[in-house]
Amino acid sequence: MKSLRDRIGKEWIFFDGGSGTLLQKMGLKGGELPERWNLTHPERIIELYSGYLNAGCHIFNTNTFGANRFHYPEDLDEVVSAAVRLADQARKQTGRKDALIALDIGPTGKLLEPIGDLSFEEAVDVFASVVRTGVSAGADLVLIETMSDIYEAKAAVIATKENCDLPVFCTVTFDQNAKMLTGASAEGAAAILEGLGVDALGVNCSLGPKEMFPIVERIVNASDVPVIVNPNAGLPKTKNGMTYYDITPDDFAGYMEKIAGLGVTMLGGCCGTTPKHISRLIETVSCKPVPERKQPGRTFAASGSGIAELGKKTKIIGERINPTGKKIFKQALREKNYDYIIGEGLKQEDGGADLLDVNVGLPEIDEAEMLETVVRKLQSVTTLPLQIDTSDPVALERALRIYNGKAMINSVNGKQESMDAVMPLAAKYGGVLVALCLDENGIPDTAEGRFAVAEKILKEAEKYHIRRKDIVFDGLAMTVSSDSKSALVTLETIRRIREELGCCTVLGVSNISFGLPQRQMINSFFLAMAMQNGLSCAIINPNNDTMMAGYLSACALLNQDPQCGEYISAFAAAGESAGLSLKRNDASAVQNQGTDLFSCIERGLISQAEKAVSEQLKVKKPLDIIDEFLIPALDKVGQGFEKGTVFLPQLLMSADAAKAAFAVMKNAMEPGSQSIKGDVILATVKGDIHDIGKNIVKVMLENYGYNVIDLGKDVDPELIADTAVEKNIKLVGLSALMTTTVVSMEETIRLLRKRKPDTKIVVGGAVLTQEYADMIGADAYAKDAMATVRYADSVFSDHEN
Amino acid sequence: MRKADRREIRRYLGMDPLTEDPRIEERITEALGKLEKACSPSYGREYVDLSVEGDTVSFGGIETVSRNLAANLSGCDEVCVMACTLGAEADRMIRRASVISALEGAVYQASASAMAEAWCETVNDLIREEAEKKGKVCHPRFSPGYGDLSLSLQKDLFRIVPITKTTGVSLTESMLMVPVKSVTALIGLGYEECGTSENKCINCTMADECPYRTEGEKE
Repeated sequence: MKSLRDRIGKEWIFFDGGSGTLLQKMGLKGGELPERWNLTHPERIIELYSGYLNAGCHIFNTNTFGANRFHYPEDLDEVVSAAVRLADQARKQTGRKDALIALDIGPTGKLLEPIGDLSFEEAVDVFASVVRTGVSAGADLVLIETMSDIYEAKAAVIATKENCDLPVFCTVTFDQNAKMLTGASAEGAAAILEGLGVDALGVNCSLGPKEMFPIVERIVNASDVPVIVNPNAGLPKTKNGMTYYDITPDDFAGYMEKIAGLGVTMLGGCCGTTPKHISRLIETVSCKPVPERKQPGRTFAASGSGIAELGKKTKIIGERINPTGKKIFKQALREKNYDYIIGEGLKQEDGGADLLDVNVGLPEIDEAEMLETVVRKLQSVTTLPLQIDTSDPVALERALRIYNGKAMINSVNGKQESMDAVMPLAAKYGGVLVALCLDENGIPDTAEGRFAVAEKILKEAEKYHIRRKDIVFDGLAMTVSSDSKSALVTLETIRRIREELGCCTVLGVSNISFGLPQRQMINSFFLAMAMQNGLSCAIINPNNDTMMAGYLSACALLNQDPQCGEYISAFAAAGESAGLSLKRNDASAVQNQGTDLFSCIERGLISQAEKAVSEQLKVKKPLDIIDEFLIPALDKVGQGFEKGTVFLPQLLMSADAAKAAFAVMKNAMEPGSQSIKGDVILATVKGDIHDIGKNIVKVMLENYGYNVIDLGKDVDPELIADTAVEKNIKLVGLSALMTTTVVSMEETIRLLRKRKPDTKIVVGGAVLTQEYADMIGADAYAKDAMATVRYADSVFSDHEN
Repeated sequence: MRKADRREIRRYLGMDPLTEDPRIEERITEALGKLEKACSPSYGREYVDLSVEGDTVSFGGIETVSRNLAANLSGCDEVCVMACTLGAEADRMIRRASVISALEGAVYQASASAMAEAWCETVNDLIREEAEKKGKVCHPRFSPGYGDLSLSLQKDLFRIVPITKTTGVSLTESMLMVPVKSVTALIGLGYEECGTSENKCINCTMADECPYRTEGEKE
């Protein structure tokens, strides 16, 4: 008999239907765990399986949907292996030895970080233990299903592939808006699963076949992998508190026939479908010829909820998360100032980037650790897909593994060593691989030479089953001032790769202008020319007005901007006035009142405060500016806040303006010349995920000259104590919002007292009061951010005395 | 969906609910606009039989002792367990805003809270309509964590309304819901209006020390 891998996509393959409704009819009570029945009611489970085997399905699922260590902490292995064993018995009893047992894996029921508290590696581990047990018990394939978070689906696929060689199928669920619960679109989910190397992918549960049709159509048009469709018997309805589904077997089969017509060869059912639905489906569809499936070959980079398609409109990859030539960025990397690094990403998103390049390599830091952390943090705040940019394979693997989505990978080149290191990672985790057209012989100086390297890379990629659509070639922009033919060679390379290989292309545009004056001018023209030659994406700074003017103009001219809509909305405000002026989102820039630094801070005007401080820097020393303007202005606002005439948001506006002014001065100051009053640890305690209050306190403390070591939220007491000891910290601030987490605050205080008795502890948060603070043994209770600043001042002036 | 109550947003921001500062109002408008565009609110609800004896409340296989809940559900024979959420994108937007500045973070936090409340009220409207069809009236919404009702009840409520599958809301180890802008609540269905007020604060045993109430309201 042909193997399953040889059959999929080439012949009809039918799955089983729902199990929950059937088990309830057999007597399973609401709230009872269905998988428990593998041990307590084996004959019922065999009956369930047999129903579908008799209906004629080719693949049937083990009763293990919710079987994981969270639901079965005691006897998971028994529950899983019994499910597989019973499946084999049912197969024998029904004379269906040809049928295949799918080890069924459903979601854990917990949300992954950063939304929830389940770490990615723990999720992988949870799935891995089910896979190992199920496979050794004799499953024929693994079906990961009903995933509503694509990140969790990724964890399950990796766990499966790391623990067996069986075929892996993965189906996910969408709501009526065609989104997964954590935001992935049909195209995004398909791209991510395809990248992870599943043998088939698709959709199940949540919707009926009718509602699923348009989603299936999108998946078929986005992915090159065989598609599975297992719908419910319609949308759920309730009657007397009971959920039911009401599409009849005939109607179900009719809808499924239409879905099959889209090129879907793997069909079955989910909630509410019964053996009757499945046998009707098989009768209706199996007599039809197996449809020819087209391979759309589209290139997608994706995050967990965002997507960028390459090969249509030219995409912008923001280049600013990169330390090369940037003093402040390097300092931020050394100091682990993540807010600065992430902020650089968000500014580019606001500026119009479609993807963000992430390069955090610096010789003196642990790049792998930093890259993983920055990728996590970026993904917790932006939905833009990322381009992981590193030459260290260890760092690359760590980042790709925890990346939520299908990343761009920057980069591989034609050297054997590079391909050996990078391609296995791209094959395992998926990704859109940026390939530089150079090899052991250097950079070819002709388009023919570069094209030949591209062909060599494609050939090598085939060995790893990396699809050619997932390789994006960098045509290599070389300095035109040293070789006046170089721009033409690059443009010709791009054109040929696009036209003859059908692959996407990318350029780091600015290299072209090294050594020339007015670099942005030539860069923007070069970008437009490259776009005309079919450039798929450009690595640029989206906040550079000249570059964006070139980009927007080229989009308008190349039919990439319908009705010149984007061009108009970007430039209409400028009218016919001379010079470039793009409409940027800077609310404070509109208010053009007063440039005196004191009042800018008092009124919270950020960009004016920046301008005013630059003016002052021409005549005054930074420390004098701080003493004469910043601190008095902050104090005035702070006193107003304490009296109740100024409210929290106004206080924060001033704090933001002061922070911006400090940042300008920091640029002008010699490193180390700033006066720091002291180091303060801030943390939201273990179990608590609220950090807005803590962040407010942080901003205020920083403005008043403290160096804040921000340990984040949900922080382990051990980490707080360790850090306090290691850095000899005099003051720790703890925050908790919930009554339930004040317990961990108390625990943290106890541990700190034991490990570092001389450290003062100030506590705050919505549920805390002075009495509460006294009860749990804190040194002080701060009712708000200003109170914390005042207390810090008292602690540190005491220490000086 | 109902509109978010801007007075509540100002209150969460520590401002006087009735005083408008145009600079802050502008930020609130922007935050609400972006949140509305990005969020995908969803909900779930289940009706189960209820009995109340003394301070003991029993429904859907749960038995819990809470004086405040028993008072709220007194006279009801059915309870609706509801859950609703703004979804995961709201969380991301709050985190994003917090990176930009503490003010942005606070404004998004407050705006999303008010939106979650408005969404909860919208779902409550639907449940009221369903109750009317049965000839019943709804009692005021009551959530774990209100008054003396333990937060640990969450686990049971999640069992009754399987919202993890339908809305993606799940519980952390410390019984907090994620995504954070999510609400679970019990709504009693009876034949007479509830004796307690619709003003949640007045019924709450913690009202006097609540940090979210301004001085004027505590009197």
